Amino acid sequence: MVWLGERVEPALDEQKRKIVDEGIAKFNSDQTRLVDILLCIQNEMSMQYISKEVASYLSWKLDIPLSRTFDVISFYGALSDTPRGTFVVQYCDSVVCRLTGHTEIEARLVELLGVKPRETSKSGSVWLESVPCFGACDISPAIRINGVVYGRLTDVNKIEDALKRSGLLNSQIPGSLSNNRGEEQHV
Amino acid sequence: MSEIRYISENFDRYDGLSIGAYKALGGFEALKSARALNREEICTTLIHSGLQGRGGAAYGTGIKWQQALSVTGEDKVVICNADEGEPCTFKDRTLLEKDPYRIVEGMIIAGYAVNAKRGFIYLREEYWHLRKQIEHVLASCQQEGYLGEESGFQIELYSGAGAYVCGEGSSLIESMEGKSGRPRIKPPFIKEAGLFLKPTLVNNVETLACVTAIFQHGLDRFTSYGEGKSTGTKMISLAGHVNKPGTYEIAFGTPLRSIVEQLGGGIKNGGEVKFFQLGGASGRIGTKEQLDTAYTYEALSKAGLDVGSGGFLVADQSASVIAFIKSVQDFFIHESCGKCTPCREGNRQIGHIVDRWNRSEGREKDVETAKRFANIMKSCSFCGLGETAQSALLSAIKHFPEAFMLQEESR
Ligand SMILES: Cc1cc2nc3c(=O)[nH]c(=O)nc-3n(C[C@H](O)[C@H](O)[C@H](O)COP(=O)(O)O)c2cc1C
Ligand code: SF4
Ligand code: FES
Repeated sequence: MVWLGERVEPALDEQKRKIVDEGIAKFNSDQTRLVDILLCIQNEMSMQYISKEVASYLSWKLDIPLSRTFDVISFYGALSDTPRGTFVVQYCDSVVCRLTGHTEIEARLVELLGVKPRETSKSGSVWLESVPCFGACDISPAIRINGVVYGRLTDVNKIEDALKRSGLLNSQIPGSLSNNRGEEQHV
Repeated sequence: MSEIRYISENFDRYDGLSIGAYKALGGFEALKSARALNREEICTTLIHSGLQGRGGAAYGTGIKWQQALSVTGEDKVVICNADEGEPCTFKDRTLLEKDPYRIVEGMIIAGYAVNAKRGFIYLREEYWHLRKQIEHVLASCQQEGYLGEESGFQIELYSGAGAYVCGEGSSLIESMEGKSGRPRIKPPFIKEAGLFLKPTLVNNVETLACVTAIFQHGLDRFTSYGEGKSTGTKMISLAGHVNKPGTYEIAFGTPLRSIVEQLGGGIKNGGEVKFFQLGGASGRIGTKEQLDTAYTYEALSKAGLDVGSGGFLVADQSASVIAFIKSVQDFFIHESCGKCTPCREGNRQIGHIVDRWNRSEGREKDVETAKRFANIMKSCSFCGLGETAQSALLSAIKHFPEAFMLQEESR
């Protein structure tokens, strides 16, 4: 019999459990590394988000209340409890980029990707969102695709080129686990 | 006027990875000369240097270290604040990309000076791509015995997760403890009870880079730059409508105009400056008439401007003051942590007014109301975010009253 307050291992499918276990192990099951652990797990998860099931399992495993895990997920802009996509495309909407062409970028991205901001494409491969300054103001206007920065996107060709170089355009791998986070590229 | 190469002297002279190359450029000489002094002497040297923290608050680094040293308590910690969340600020990114060893060396000196055994780098998520490089740098220092058990000092890398408020010392610490990053009430001050309630010293990336330069090249060289109380050099993040945006090192005392025209290559398409903002989104704005002001703490403060984060955003005549204010306001609405009412509600209510201005639907009392709310936020907010969120708006109303009037009239 399960007593009130006793914590039962929440169900989670094999593949996801492996990602969570590895994320936790990387930080020696240290509760205080929750932010880093969540980021690492999110980077590996399909659709780049933390689902309720993942959060429950993680909280159980780290022995912290689920409410605290969700407080953290909802507090930080870089953590998402909403499924996003194989490619997370972010465009900056802070002061410098607004002066140098954020409106055009937004319009071109919506057109090229066929999604609106905070939406996932039908195939599940692309999520588009605006984010605050990510410190690429010297190459503004700039976007980030799975953590890689592409800058000086002053015309539609350059935007298209950035999408191609990220592997996003022509990509046929919806739901793929590989999200090539890598080195920053200054265009 | 040309760019200074002082704390940026190693830029592009090595790959930012090879510890051997760093040493060949004089790396770890600063640590050697610092270790030749006792702890108190290091703090006094920094006090004499006049170095002020480059993270935005401009607190005297020497005094801060002296206080950290005098706190009693075991297991002190040193944190390098690499959160750099201020819009139009990227100089810490440049420093970490181009000369990461200098920052680590500064941290080791700090560890020795205040008698701390553990160091941490809190790196914003947006700089995730720098993690590999920093991890490599830390591993190399460990291999060569600059870090690790024998040296008595270790450094760990922590990641932020996209929250501007986490640049504030106590929020940063909350975040490092695995919680959402809302500021703590003071006292206790973090110097007494910070990370894991241990005495904690927090310094900005650039501050640590200055420390290394001071102990490598001597006090005289540092104080040979600058004017009055603004000693040394400053890394500027120059962006906006200039021909050559980028990170530049200047000596304090350089006129703003030279920064825009000589380093920035002037305004794009031969245009003219309409306004500029110093110190990131939380800084005040100035007009082209103020471009002859010297870049020093004193002169800027007299002109109603701030050094702040070292950001320098330039807007030409095509820029709309209202659209600019809206971008600042949207940022602060997004970033307010919600802990205190003046900032949470103030930002939201001022946001409604700014939206009306932006739609040219301003109402009669809007300017007055916005100013009143802004002043309440300035004096009653719980942390620096709320206190400075309305700097841009208040200075814009002062410099461009017509921009706000027009919005009322065309209603
Ligand atoms: C909302 C807010 C954000 C801040 N962000 C940063 C930051 O990103 N980097 C930084 O070094 N200091 C930041 N600061 C200032 C820090 O609180 C602190 O003063 C600084 O890191 C101390 O280092 P220093 O003495 O070397 O300047 C911020 C302050 C506030 C109130
Ligand atoms: S001023 Fe703003 S950011 Fe700071 S505690 Fe209050 S609500 Fe949070
Ligand atoms: S304002 Fe867009 S990257 Fe900084």
